[in-house]
Amino acid sequence: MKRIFYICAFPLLLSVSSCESFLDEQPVSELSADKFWKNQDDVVAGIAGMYDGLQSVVSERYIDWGEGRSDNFMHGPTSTREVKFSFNGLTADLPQLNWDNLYVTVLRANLAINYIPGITGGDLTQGAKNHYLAQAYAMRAYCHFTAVKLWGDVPLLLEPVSDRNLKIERTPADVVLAQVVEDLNTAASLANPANASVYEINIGSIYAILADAYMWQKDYASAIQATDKLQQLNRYTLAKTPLEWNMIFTNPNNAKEAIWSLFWSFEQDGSNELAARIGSSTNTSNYEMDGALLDKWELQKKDFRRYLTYDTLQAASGSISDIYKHYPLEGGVQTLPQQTQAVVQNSLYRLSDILLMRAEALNKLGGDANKEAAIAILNQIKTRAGVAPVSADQFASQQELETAILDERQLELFAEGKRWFDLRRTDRVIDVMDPVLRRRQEQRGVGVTGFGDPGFILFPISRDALNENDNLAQNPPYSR
Amino acid sequence: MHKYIQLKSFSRTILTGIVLLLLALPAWAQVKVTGKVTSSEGEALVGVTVIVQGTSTGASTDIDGMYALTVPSPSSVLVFSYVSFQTKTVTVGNQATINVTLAADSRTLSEVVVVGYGTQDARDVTGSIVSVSAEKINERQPVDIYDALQGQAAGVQINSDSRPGAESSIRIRGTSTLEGGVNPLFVVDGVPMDNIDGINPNDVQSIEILKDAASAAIYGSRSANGVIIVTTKRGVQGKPKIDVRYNHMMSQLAHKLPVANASDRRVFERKMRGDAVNSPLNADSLNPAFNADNDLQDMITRMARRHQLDFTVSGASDKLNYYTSLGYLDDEGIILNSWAKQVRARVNITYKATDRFEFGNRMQFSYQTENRINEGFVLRQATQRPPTFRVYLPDGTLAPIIAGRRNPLAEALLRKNEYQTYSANVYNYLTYQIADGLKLTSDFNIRVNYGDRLHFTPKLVNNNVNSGGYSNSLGTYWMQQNYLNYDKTFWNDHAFSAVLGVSTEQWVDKSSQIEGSNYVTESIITSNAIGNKSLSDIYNDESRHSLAGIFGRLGYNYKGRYMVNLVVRRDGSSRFGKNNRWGTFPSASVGWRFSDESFMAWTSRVLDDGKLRLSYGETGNERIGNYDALERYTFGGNYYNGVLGIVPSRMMSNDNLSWETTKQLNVGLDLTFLKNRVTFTADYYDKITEDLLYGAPLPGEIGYTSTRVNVGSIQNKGLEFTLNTYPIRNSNLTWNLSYNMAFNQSTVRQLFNGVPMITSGRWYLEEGGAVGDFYGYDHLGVYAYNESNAYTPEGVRLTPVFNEGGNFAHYMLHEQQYTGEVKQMQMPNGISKGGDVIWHDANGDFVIDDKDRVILGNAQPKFIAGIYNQVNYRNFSLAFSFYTQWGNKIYNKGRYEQAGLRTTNITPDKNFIHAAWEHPGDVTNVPRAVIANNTTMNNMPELSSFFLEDGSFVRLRNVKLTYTFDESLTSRIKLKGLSIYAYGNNLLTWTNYSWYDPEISLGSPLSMGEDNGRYPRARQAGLGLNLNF
Repeated sequence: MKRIFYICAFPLLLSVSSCESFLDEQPVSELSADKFWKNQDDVVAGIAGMYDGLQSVVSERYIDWGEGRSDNFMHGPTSTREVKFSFNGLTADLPQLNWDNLYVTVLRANLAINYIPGITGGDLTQGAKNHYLAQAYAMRAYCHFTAVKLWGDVPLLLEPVSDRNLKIERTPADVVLAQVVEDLNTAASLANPANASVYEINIGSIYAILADAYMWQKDYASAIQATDKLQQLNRYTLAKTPLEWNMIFTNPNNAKEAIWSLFWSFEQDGSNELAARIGSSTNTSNYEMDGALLDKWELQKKDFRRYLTYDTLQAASGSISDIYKHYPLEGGVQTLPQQTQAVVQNSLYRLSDILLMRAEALNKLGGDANKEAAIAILNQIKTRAGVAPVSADQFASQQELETAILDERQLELFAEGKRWFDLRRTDRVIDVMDPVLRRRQEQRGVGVTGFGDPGFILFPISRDALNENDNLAQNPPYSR
Repeated sequence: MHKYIQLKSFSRTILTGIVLLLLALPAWAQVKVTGKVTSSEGEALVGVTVIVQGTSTGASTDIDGMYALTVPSPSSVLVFSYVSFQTKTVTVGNQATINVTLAADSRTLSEVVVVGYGTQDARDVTGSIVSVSAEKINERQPVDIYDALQGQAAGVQINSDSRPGAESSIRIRGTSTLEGGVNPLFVVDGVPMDNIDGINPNDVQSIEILKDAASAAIYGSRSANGVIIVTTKRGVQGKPKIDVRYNHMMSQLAHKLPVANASDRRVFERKMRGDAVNSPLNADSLNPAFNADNDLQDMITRMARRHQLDFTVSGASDKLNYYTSLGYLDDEGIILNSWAKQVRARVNITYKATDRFEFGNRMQFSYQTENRINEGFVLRQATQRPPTFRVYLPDGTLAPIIAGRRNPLAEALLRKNEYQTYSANVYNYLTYQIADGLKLTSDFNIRVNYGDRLHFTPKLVNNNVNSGGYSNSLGTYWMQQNYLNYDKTFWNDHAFSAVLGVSTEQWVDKSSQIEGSNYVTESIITSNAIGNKSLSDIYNDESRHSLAGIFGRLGYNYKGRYMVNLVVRRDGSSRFGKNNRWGTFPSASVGWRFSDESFMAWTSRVLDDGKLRLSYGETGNERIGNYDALERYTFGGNYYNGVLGIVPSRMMSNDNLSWETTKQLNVGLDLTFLKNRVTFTADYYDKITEDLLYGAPLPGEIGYTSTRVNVGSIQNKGLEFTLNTYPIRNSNLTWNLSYNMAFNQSTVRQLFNGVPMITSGRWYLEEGGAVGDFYGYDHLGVYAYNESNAYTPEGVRLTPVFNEGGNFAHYMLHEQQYTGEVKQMQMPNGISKGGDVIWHDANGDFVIDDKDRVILGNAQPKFIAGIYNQVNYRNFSLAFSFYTQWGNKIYNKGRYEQAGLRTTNITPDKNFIHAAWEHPGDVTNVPRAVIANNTTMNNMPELSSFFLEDGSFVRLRNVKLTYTFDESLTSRIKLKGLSIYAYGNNLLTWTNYSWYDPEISLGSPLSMGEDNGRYPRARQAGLGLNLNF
């Protein structure tokens, strides 16, 4: 009987004894968290991951967020969601309102900020560490800044979260903006001034974002200071020829005007979503150029930006569905990519943008000297494009000059995700969009209601975000 | 689980084979015996097995109940056995004629049910188990096990996919999980498997479906969705038996959709333009590209053929039992260029080395290859593309994409998407009889699956850019189990059984992939020809999973009248958080055979057997990602500027992640009446899944989008009935009719923080709702006039009245003129007019927006039922069965894609075009066919109740007529048995569903019931032949 017992018990014991280690399977093709953020390689990969997060945001939302609601674009003939952008009828269910990718990038920046200081040994110098940290701070600032521009009050995240039950509240927009400025100043102090890669955040792009942020704070003196610092780097000059201008978008690495562009490679990143939105050879675009803007372009036949931005032959049909500004000139012709094969080096900041912003700030500060300086910048941009310059006596008020600057920005920075934010920054959303919307409503034969409630200036918060976090409140008058 | 029906399922052919064998024996046999076997009513019994005890010598009775055989000596003992009758033994002595009368066996069949690590007498089952025998499987000419099971067991919903080589979906007793894996566990000859694709249904001896928790709990952590036990065939005592089966089938499209022809297309164009007259010409009447009138459905479908050939050799001696089979299946699909081929082989060997020691193995090998067409580009384009567009260029080559519409014929013929799967499973076991009733089994199983896929899209079908790729995967699995079985009966009436064992398992999965575009040449499509390799799609990876368990079962049975079974299993899984790796799954069940009680004696004339069953148990589910519990950094696709980035997983870790537990109560009743002519089984179950495993959405602002949690609960309650009858049973004619039906009702009881989940904007999961609730806008009709959009402030619609000049006069309400305030329904982009859809304004604010979405229906059927008939008359046998699913909704997404008025070139179906609103006053439920009108007024949002259809159907599932030749005839051509048959599958379907077929794949629990225009179902008919040597 004893023997039987042993026969029975032996295999049972054998199997059970080593169970705990048997059941401890560690990932083979993924990295468990305790093995990461240990050395320079990890930092390089972690920072690349951070940029990768922003890539997906910019690829998808460049136009949706920056211009979809503005007078630059009208929805395409087969778009159903974009109709809501063109007719100021955003609803909380739209996928375009999802901010997850933006905050995924914030998390990646926060992890870098959290872990990089603790990495010791190896070849990683303090200077190199600081420059990586500068990029992380500036990235966090850029993401929060983008969120504020869209939604006003937004969640502010300054460290990585590990609590699944955390339900963070929205922080007032001015507090977030102050934090953005603080992060950018931190970044500026940490950045290595020698680093000048256009595809990475460097001291130049930090000043550019900073200038933009001061403009939103309406701190025009500081904005001018930031542009001063940027110009003092002696790194950037305006593109002179049409070919150089096109290179800003197609080969920013060799374009003196480019300050910060996001790198894109078809083989690494697949197709850039921009083609699906505003122009590819294989799909119907989600957006078309607004008719009134097309009329404006068509008055400036000598403007080289015109034929480098869209197919002027299409203009006769009265609508422009394909924007090919972002694609290289080949034998003097630009061709649209296939929707699934688009490569776009999305420009985030370039010198024209910063200079025109500086002009805007100078104009706001007032005084004849500032007005002259502002007009000088405006003319610099106009003459470069082959458009007749303007003179101070054409502008009776600060308001008029600002309009001229904004109009110039509209053409110069068309399809670069800027127009809606320009209108927001200068508090002109209703002034500009109310007549545009009335025109569209009349043409479509629907009830003419104009812009409607001023609360619509902000984007609604996505319903998913509201469902997932009951501490978030919707921007009135949008509904959940 | 597997049920052995002693000798019955070996079918008459085997037995007649034995007779023939005997005839071949040399004449040294000494005693010849003949006789007649009858029932106690005096009827001759056909096919009774007569065997000389302790030998392989035997015979079976013929149509008159007569048998003849030669026995070695007068001391030989003859054993007479027959299904549903008591077995009788007779010593030969000096009798030359032995006539025997067999008494009906009230103990039904002496069936044995496989219950996992052992067997049970079917009479003593206390849980809810359904057995399906080889006979019922064979009546269908199934290509796989799912095909064989549909409609055969109450509470088992199987929806097959019509594509050749496709896997079916299966749910037992409703959907009781969200993302934890919905398939039941398959156990084939004792080996757990994730799928049963490689198993030839002809090799199956029986299938047992363990529905309740108490039965399934012995498989612990993987049993929450039920367990399906497949037992394959073994050899039968005697000389080698060779079977050859062949069948040939033809199939064609069962239901052709009413797509538009060129004339309908012109009507559509008129309606889009708003012209008054219909042009007899196509839109661009001079361009040869736009002036065809193609029936694309006809062009892409064909009469398809299927060949199925199976070859088996089996046999047994005292020590060795063997069964081998080789099967080949060549299955053409009804869509051009879609096909699947399979080779499946099996070797089952059992060797009894000594009285105590036995070993054996079960080996299974399969190879499958398939070309899977792109259903979206072929089928959907065929229904959407204007019929006027040409398909061929003037030179006879296929036309490319025209005006954004793909050429479905080119898509079917030129796009390549080939799959190959090789699979081998080898199971070895040995058993040692330690003492009387005590047996030790130790086994080891190894399985290897290798699959690869080559796909390529040529330039012609893809705007002049080709793309493609290659991927492969290697999965290995091993399992080791040791267990003790103890079975003993004390003092005749007290039967004990016990099992105690351990098991360990591990899975290692590796895969790799390469993708790219711009091949240097289209003649070579291996990856060395890829011009632009897509870096983020090139990788190989590996993932592991291990599982360990200890299990036990204790059964006690008093006189077959009172039965108790206790089962417990404790499992540990590597998938769970380190704090919660182990789970314990107990269950208990009791049975009471009340018909054996003395106070029930008065019923004994009618009621042969009656048993009440009660069981309760907990089962687990661990089917989630291998590393979901861990905090991980991932990489592969996160490049930036030439650097491969490393990023945190979007799923937040959870150290406490643990088992999903399903608690199930089952109450069952088994009744047998009138000498087995009627059996009735009913089960009620209440199944609550707790600690639901799902990816709960997290607030995106924290940087993670989801986390795997154990929160929430779903309940499924239901009733199941099975009725099996023999309305006619005599020596010439037998009619077996069985019916099963199951009702299920599901409720979501709790979710993570109560947060409802909207999946793809079309399904809504909320507490109090049900899994599979469709969510969207309720389409109430179409405004006939602009003035029809008028409501009282309370939301009652007013009727406009027009004067003789056709001008609007006033509104009517309840047949009285209305003069009060008039409200109009507004879309975000304007006021709805004539030809726009009337939407249900759920919140009563006269603005139709996404707040007006409501639950529109549910994707789960209210009941499913199957009817099975088998009629045997002399040499003929006729089997036919019906299957029905009732009360579910299907989102007809194929039609939405076709008739959603998205672009001018997508052509809606004929009915839609002609019914579309055109002039003020048109009364219809189809809105104005103006594309821009749809874009601005959103007449076709997703999801609209207009495209939600009733998915109920009743189907004549299969019919088979078989003729079996008399042995007297077949023996002349040296055959032991020969039968021929004709059969048809899916011959008739009654349904209101408008797309191809209402039987659609069930899909994930979070997105059930969507038919996105899948592979159409075929009507099939075939002929076959079975030969036994």
